[in-house]
Amino acid sequence: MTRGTLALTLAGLIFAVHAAWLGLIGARGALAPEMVDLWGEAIAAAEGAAPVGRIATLYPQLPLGLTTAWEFLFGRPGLPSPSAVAAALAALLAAGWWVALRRAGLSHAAALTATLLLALHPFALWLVAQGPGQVLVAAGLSGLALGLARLRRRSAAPDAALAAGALAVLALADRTGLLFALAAIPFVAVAAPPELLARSPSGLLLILLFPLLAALAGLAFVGLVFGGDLAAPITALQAVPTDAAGPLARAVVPLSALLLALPLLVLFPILARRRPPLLQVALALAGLSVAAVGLAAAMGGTDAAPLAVVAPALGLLPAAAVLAARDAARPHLVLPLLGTGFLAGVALLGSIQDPGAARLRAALAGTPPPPEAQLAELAELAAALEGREGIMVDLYAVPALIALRGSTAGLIGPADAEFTLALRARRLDAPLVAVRASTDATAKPDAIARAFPRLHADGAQGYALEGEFGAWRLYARTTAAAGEERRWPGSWSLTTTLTPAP
Amino acid sequence: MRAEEELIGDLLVARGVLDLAALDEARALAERWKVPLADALMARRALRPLDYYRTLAQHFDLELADLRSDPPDPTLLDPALAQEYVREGVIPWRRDERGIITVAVTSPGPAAVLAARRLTGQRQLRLAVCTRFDVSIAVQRAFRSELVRKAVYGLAETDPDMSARRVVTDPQLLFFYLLLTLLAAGLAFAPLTTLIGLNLLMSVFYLGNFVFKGVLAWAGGLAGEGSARALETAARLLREDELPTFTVLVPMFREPEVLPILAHALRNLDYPLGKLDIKIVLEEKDEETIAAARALGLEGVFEIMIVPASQPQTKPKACNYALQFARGDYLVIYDAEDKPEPDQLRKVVAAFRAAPPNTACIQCRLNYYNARENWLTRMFTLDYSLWFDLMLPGLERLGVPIPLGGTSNHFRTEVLRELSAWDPFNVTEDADLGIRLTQKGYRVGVIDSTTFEEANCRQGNWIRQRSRWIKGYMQTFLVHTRRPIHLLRTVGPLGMLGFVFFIGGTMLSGILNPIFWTIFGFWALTQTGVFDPVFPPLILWLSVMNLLLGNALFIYLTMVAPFRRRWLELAPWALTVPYYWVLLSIAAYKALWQLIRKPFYWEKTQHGLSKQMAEELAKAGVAARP
Repeated sequence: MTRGTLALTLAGLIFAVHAAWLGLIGARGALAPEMVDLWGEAIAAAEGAAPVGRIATLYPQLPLGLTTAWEFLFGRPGLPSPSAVAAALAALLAAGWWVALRRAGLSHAAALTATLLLALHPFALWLVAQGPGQVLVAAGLSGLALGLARLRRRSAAPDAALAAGALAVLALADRTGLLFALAAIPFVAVAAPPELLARSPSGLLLILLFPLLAALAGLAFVGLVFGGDLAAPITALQAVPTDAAGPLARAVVPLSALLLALPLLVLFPILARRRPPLLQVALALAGLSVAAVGLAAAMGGTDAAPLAVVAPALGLLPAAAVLAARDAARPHLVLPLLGTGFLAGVALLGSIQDPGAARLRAALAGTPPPPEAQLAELAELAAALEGREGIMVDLYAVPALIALRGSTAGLIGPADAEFTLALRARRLDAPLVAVRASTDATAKPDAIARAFPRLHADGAQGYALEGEFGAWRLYARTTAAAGEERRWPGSWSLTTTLTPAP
Repeated sequence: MRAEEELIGDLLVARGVLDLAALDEARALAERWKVPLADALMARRALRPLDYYRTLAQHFDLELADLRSDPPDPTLLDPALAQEYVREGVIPWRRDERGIITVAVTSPGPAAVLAARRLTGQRQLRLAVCTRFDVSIAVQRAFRSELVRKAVYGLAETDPDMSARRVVTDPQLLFFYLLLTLLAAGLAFAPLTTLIGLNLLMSVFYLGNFVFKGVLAWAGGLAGEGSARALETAARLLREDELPTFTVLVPMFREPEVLPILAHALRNLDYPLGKLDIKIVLEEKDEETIAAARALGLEGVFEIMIVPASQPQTKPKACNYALQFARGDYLVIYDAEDKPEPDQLRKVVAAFRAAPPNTACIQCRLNYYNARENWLTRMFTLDYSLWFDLMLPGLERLGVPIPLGGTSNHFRTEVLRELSAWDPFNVTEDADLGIRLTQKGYRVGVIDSTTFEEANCRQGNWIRQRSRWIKGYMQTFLVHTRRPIHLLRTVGPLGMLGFVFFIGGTMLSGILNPIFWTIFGFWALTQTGVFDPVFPPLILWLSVMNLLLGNALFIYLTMVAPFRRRWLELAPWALTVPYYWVLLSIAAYKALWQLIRKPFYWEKTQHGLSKQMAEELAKAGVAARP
């Protein structure tokens, strides 16, 4: 069998394992809420029901683009599209790791074992459970680390392009990725070959950073053109601290997790201490992960979900393994260190205070997942709306509803002129209106609740309360409206804007 | 060394036309290179060629024929044997009253006698001595019209489907007419759908173009660091005596100022000068350059060939003409201002020996010695680095037909002759030949050896040059798409796709870009909704991708292009590449206009404008001084 065939076989195997894992999570109701939101957005985009401006300005773009493409091409044969994309990405990534490890001189068995230890590492399982965005962050970090390592070794243009492109992938993958990309900037200079830096520091750094800058400029451009938020990625970086602990205290858990579960990454500088060029790369890889944790802690994003910034650093491990095996001539240390990290990962996933980890623990134990209030309520609302049409709801605030219903058919959302006119005229006309309590501070603001502040509590003239689902209330129109006899739009799109009433 | 050569050498010294030290040096060279003493002597300016041949005649007690003042009797010459006369250095000269033919030969001996008998069909012959160049000039004078005809119409007559002599064939005309009719009908009956369809087609083309070029650059960037080192070693290990004769063609037109640079660069080649057959190919009307070339007093290995005036007056026609006199197993074309790396010919020989037997051409890389002169030369350098350092190795790696670059393409001479060489009606004859070679089952290789040229440093001159290139690409595209099934069968699906995007994409993007820039600019300034119907969501999505990702990718490719050469200080200039694209589009429209009005017109690029030229001339002058 050729290396390509073996890699594809391995990818298929890993995909099957991840798909089964995600299937189990889905079956036990432990899907990450972000993933369900993403799924909803992707369904709308794939059905042509979301305006381009909405899709273009939704951050992060890469997971949405890939999920939309999957949804468009394959629909939903079983797994939710984001899960399928996450599993496929993780499988391809694992195949890439295997190829890199084989090229580093590891035997078939050692490379396979190392790949399995990486691809099935508890952090990897956590990553795929979070959705394609987190897997993309790990992929971006892998690309960055391998690119920098190769750049140091042979200085070919594709090596620089790989590292630079990986930074752009990070920026477009999700907010953690952007955080890593920003944290990596100084370390890119540390890892760059000194002779190239001496030749033209500005030239080399521009080559390494241009894709990242272009990605950010592109985001700003679409924001400007399509009226989105120019600073969406930057805003996305902001997280609300859930306790009063300082940045240092917030960094303790993730740093400990980093040390325990990814020991090869942390110990690599020690292995490379006698080889200055390698040491610089090793320090850069370890340094950027520590810096990312520090940055996240400073911004208040690590106490709520410490694994969010630690787990993607798994993507740096293959490069560390390659360098340790080939350049530092310590192939015998690779498997023990990966194995130790694997075991520590199991322990951490079993105990760490992290919402994603808690959901996975529940799924594995077969116990109900911790109350993801919004999703549970939404699921009930979606069930109540099954087969109904003309439902006005702020889909930009709850794209998960689309995923839970399976389609945009029968929904009237902010992309419809009907919705916009109703909010502008402050006059409701739709047969059904779903509104969330504006008191729910953790949820995205509901445009209907803002436009009709008394609707949730008091209802509206001509509407009667049909059901209550946690923070949600569903009102049904009781009187015939001017447009009663017309057919309601079958989907949520600009193409289904108001047609004149007969 | 043959005894006769020993004696001739001594005689040259005894007659005082050669000093002993020069003779010893020539003998040593002849021994080392395994060439006749005459070739070693001609490789050095140790004596005048005429002195050598006069001594040769004296030694053999033969008449010295001056074929310039006393040309051969035309009734003795056979046009079909023209190339053989030159290759063998044997030409029937005159017939005496008894009917015995005197044959002029450049190297009297048994081989010459046998060749003379074969070429004349006579057993009883008389010999005379003449210079090698006299044979060449006599043949050129005797067969002027035949040689020119072959140079101009050789390809068009033997393989008319591959010739650009007809710009558009009847089936192509019909196809374009049908396409236009379809478009007109679409615009008449379903204007919006037609415009959306057109827009979609163009968007998909843009997407394919940037994806393909991205893949090419990636593949090209990974190609060959290891093999480059192996080739360098193999080239160094080649012994001089095993190197073949190499013909170097240097077509020139009105550029006398760069001649010394060229001569200096060729002398600098790490290749036995005695095994070089250098032909400086000049146009008959270009008296200035002819005079300058003669005034240089070049070594005997340099032959000045005068191409008779005829239309079209193009570089490929000049090369075709000179090819008929080529003696080398391999042949390369250099431009007049070229400075090939000294070991280039050795590397080429080593590459040919290591390559599959169907390898007909090795393309070397081109770049510029005045890269940092001004904005344009910097951009041109980035452009060339992208083309030759990333794209062409990528094409080679992916097995896509390679459009050859203007110079430094090295051929097996026999293959060139077999394919009727260059198309004189195509103004990028090199690109066309690269595609034709692949279609005929030959392979083109790319190696890591660079020829440095003078980058065009003035925008007007650059646009003229680029318009010719783009026009040539249009011609090449039209020629090779005449038989699409044949193209697909001969180059394969990937080759076809590569051809469409690489040749078609390069010219078409230049034409289409201004249309999209105008639409975008107008929309950005006015925020008009007039274009909205033509951009339904899918196309708008594609267009946004093309606009952001495509442009960023092309800027980035330009940025990383100089990476291989470590010219990283040029990278920031890539940010200004959009203006370079504007120039490119101007050239594309000029090319389109010329394709319609003057398809075979050769837009001449003026050389010698660079400030660095003085420096290069000074270097060449210093080196030329003994």
